[in-house]
Parts: sequence; C-alpha cells; structure tokens
Amino acid sequence: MDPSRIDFLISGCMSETLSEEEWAELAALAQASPELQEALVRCRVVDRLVREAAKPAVDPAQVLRMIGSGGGEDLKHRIVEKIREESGGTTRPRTGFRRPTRRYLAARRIHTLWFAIAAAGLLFGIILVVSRPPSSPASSGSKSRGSEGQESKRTPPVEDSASAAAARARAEQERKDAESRLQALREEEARAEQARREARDELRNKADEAFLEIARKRKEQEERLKTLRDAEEEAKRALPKTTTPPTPLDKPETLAALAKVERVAGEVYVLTASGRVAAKEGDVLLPGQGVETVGPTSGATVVYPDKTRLELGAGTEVRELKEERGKRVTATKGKVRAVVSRQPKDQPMVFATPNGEATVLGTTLRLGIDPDPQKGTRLEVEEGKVRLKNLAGRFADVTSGHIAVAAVGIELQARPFLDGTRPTAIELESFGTGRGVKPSDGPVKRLYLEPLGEASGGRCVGAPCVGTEISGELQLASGAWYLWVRFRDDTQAQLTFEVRLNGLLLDTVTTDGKSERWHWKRFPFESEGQTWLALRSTYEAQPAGRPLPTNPYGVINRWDLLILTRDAVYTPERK
Amino acid sequence: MDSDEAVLEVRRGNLDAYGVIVAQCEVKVRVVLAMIVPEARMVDDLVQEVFLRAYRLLAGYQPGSDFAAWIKEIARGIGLNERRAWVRHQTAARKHRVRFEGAIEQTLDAASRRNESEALLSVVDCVDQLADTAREVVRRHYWQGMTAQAIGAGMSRTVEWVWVVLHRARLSLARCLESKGMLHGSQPH
Repeated sequence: MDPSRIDFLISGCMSETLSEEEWAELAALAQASPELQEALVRCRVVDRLVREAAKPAVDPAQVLRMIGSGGGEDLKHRIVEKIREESGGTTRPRTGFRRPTRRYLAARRIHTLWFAIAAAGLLFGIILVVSRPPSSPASSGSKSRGSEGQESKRTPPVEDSASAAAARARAEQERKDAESRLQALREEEARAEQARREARDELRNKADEAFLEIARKRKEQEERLKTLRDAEEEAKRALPKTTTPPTPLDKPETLAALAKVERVAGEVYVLTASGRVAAKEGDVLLPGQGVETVGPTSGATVVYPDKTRLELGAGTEVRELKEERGKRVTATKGKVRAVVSRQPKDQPMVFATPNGEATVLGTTLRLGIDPDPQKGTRLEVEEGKVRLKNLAGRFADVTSGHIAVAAVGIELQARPFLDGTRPTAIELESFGTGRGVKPSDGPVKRLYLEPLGEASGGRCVGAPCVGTEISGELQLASGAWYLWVRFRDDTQAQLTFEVRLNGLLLDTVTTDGKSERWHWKRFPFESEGQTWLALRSTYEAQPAGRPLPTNPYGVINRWDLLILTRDAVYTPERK
Repeated sequence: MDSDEAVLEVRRGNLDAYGVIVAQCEVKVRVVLAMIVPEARMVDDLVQEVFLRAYRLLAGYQPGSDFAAWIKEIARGIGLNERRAWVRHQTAARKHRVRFEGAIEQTLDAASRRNESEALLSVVDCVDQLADTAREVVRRHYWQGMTAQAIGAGMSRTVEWVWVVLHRARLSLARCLESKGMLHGSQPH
C-alpha cells in the first residue's frame, strides 16, 4: 500500500472528510493491520488532546493553570446547580450551558480601555449624525414639493404630464436620499450595538441611550421611507402613459434593463450594489443586480426579454446578472430551474457557481448549488445540452435526462437519471440473486443485499430475511416522488421492515404472515437528486424462539418489486 | 481540600464541596471521553453527565482509594455507552464509517485506560516546538477553529496541503509527547 495514500486516509479520518468509499478502504486496512490500528489511534489521541488543550484558552499558561488548580468554574457551577435541583434544594438562577471562552474574557480585559475610548468617540459621532437634519432633495423648480421633515405629506394631484414627471423625479430622489440615510443609520446602529456590548459599566448606560436613540431614528426613517415610496408610487400612477415623453431619467433604465421579476413568493429581495431591497412583481433588473429568496416558502421567477426564465427555489441567491458575450448569472446557493431560449451560437448563457460553471445554448435545466465544496453544484438537464466545467478545468457535456455534479472529490461525469415521466419498476429478485455491489451506469447505481448484523449472516438471497437489507443509490429528478413496494410473507409469522431514504425512516410495514397474498404500499417522498434507498428487515418483529430463516434461495419472506413514479394517482396492478 | 475530603463534605450535606471535585477532575474526565467518543464534539455534553452520574454513585466510593481513577472509570462507561448509541443511530449510508470505528475500538479502549490526561500539560509546549508553518496551521485549526478550506485560502495553499501539514504535525506532536513520557505505545505510522 502506498504510504502517501495511508497518510491521506489518516489525515482525512482526523478531519472527518473521507467519503464512504474511503472510510471503507480505511476500515479494511485497519482490520488487516494491527500496526495501522495503533497508528490511527495514536493520531486520534493526539488530535483529541490538542483539541482539548485548545478549548480552554489561547494562552498556553492557562492550560497549565487549569490542570494544576482546576479551572472550569462555569461547569462546576452548572453541575452544582443541577444537583441542587435534583436534590430538591433551593434553585438558583441557572446559567446557560454554553462554556464562556477564556479567550473572550482575556480579550475583554485587555481591550477594555480601548473599548471605553472607542465607545466615547462613537457616542460623540452618533450624536453628531443623528442630530444632523436630513439633506434637501435635489429639486430645481417646484418649491411647493419640499417635504423635508413632513413624513405624512403625500404628492399633490398632478394636473399635467410634465409636472407629474417632475413630481416622480423628486419623489424618487427623496426616496433614494432616505434610503442612503437609512443605510447610514443602520450601520451606525450596528456599531452602537457592538459598543454597547463591550463598553465598561459606566459607559454602558450612555451607550444604551445612544443605541435606543439611533434605533428610534432608524424607525422614523423607515416610516419616512415608506411614506416616500408611497408618494413615488402615487406619482408614477399619475403619470399619463400615452403622452409622457421619455425623460432623461427614464432613458438609461429602459436601455439597460436586463430582465424583470415576474413572480415573487415569500421574502424576496433585489440585490443591488448599495444593498438589497424588497422585490415585487414587475421589478426591472439592471446589469449587476441579482435576486435573493429567503425562507423555506420563498421563490421567484426572473424573465429575460427573449423569454429565458429562471425559476429560483427557496433560499437561493443569484448575483450579477450580466450581458457580456451572452447572458451571465452568478448563482451562489440554492436551486435554480432555467428554461433557456435558443441563444446565439457564439453567445451562450453561462451560470457561474462556486464549484464550476454551466454553459448553455438553449435548454431546460436545474441547478442545485451548495456552498460546501464537498457537495458542490448539481446539474440536471431536462432537455438540450449543457457543458458543466468544474474548478479543476475538467468539463462534461450533459444531455437530456442526465445529471452531473461539480464538487471537490467527485469525478465529473454525466449520468442518466430517472425523470419520472413514466413509472419505473425495479425487480429486486434480479438484483438480489448474488450478494455484493452491482455497479451500473444507469440511474440505479447499485442495489444489493447485505446482512445488517451477524444473526442471519446474509444467507437469504434476494429476500428480506431478518437482519438483511437491500440498499442502493438512485439518481432521481428533484421534486415529489412516490415509491411503491410489493411484499408478502407466506411462511413466517409477521415480519416488519423499514423503508429508509437517505437514512431517514419513511415508514414501517408489517406483513400479514402466513399468507401468499401480495401487498402494495406507497411511500411519498421529496427527492433532491441523489437518493439512497434502503429496505431493512428489522429484528424486533422476529417472534421469540422462532429460528431465523435460512432458505438459501430466499423465496419465502420477501419484497420483490419497487416502482418509482411521480404520478400521484398511479396505482400498480393488483396481481 | 483534596478529593476525599470533598467527598466527605458532600456526604455531610455540603453540596458546594462537589464543586471542588468538579474543578479537580474536569480535565481528566474530558481526556477520557475525548479518546473514546467517535466525534470530538460529543465531549462537551458528556462531561456534565459524568459528574452527575458520579454524584449519584458517590455513596459507593470508598475514601482512601483513588478518586480520580474511580471517576475516570465512570467516564469510560458513559463514553462507551455513547459510542454504542452513536453506532446505533448511524444510517446505512454511513456503514463504512461505523465499520471503521468498530475496527479500532479495542485499540481505542486500551488507549483510554492509559493515564494520558497529564499529556495535556505538554501539548502546548510541543506545539511551540513545531516548525513555524506547521505551528501556524495547528493554531488556526485547533485554537481558532478554522476549516482546512479557510486555512488554505488564508495561506494561499490547497486544502490537500493543509491536510498533509496537519497530519505531519500530529505525528511530530506524538513523537514529542512520547519523548516527554506523556504518551505510550508504538511509534505512529
């Protein structure tokens, strides 16, 4: 065995970064070599010792003091408190279980003076900022529109298109001013919050007051911004559509518009250079801007003039929409389904992600982006052809019905996946006639039988004898799926088995026992692409005193057929 | 107040004396747990459980025998139980990870029986003796909690480079601790 390979495996073991295949390799090596076992254990012991040494403090001397005099005051008090509670003694207020880091305490002592000075300076600055009146809007003509300090003042009725356009421009300018002031106040608030946390006791009250004052100002400014936005909207509505000549203010926006937000669900923001603002349907996206969806129920649809659509799932962020020799989108996280209209041949649409980029000429695709480089970017192509390139510069051309993943430690290759357009049946008998891995290039990577424990020793082939499981990896299109399982048990008493997806228990099934009748059961689940399916027969259902099944051909107690479908009303034939 | 005196105080009803026991034994308990549990992050939660279990069993302790050894045995028991629970809760997708833990279990158990809690005294000293680059990587990883990716990005190196440096640093630390008589067993690979 190559020593550098062993070094790699041990190193990955310590940092918990090995893949399952690498864990398997390491486990086999450790079982075969007592010397390697010893080396692994010593590495782990050192790793854990250093971790424990690092926990109390940065200062090495503190480790010595902790050993000598016994540190962990916090733990000591927690335990004494808990024991008091259990003993029925008086209960003092409990401290949190979180261990306060000594590094934090030391840093606080060292920097207390600096915090005090900084807080005093900051307080002075804050007072200057909050006491400064808001700047006047850049209005050139209409003196009656000066709305400084008049939050409730609305735009007056507009009598003609020129005045309406001017009113809109002023309202927009006021809104922008208010936004920038609000941004400044938010930053000040954040700094004041920091100062409030760290200042000494005698300054804390003053910092609190300043913080509250800024928070009050911020709220006022938010109210003011809301009022101004309403005014701007009102001015826009009053603008006659047919007679409005293009104003200098409108022209650059119209020309530069790249796409627009067609649908908004939940919390959605437009990302701009100056921050993010709440998105609404119909918002125009300019070059360099992006969209972010926040929360589990959020979503948005962005449409380009050529009908190219981006459907953003929950918790997704796309930044810097551009038009540079073709459309460019930087997707940093989440899920994007794209229906890309045919693009000019030399101007493909490019999706850049932290783990690679996908180049599209015209297709329908789905992207799942995980910032974790080990999980990477997953590309599903429903129709057309996409080139996916990873950070190492390797690429794969992914065609309809195929997926590829660009991630650290995963070979970049296109593989077929089940799209669910029609039910797919998997006969377990054919997979189970021999034990071991059954590699395949198809959507079912492998599905094989193995014993769970030592009890049955895997003597039942192709059947769920007690203590066995069938598991395999499936490449499924994202979304809702239904798994149908056919099972029966014609000789034993009741047998229970579990159906698990990606390790999570979907449901448990108990057979009738002593019946040759086949049963079907449906298990709905949500696929996120690569899916690990396992059917596991459990020990618990085995009746006491009954011998474990030992039939070598496994035709007795079994599940024998799986059907995967996306059709909610599909029902298998009851034969 | 030594441990035995503290035990007698606790038995007389002075619960605060148990704080002395906690303060004196926390590090020893932590080291025993750290050697047994499959994942380092499990240690913090189990320390509290060890001291609570020890309190309930305190009537069974005989003053004059070795209190530290007694409580470390409790810690071993809890650590091994937690280890078994961890194995039970792993999914089929992690079976090889579980198999690996099974392969090294006996050797780990033997290591946890050795009295290596004093090695903590020398860890910082040994870290200081590492070469500059290795020391910096170790400090960033263990003391500042940075991932290999973050360390690599900060030092303009690859993640693989960080793993290799950490691995070699651990080997050097093992040799250093052994030379100080703080670590036992054969040479690491």
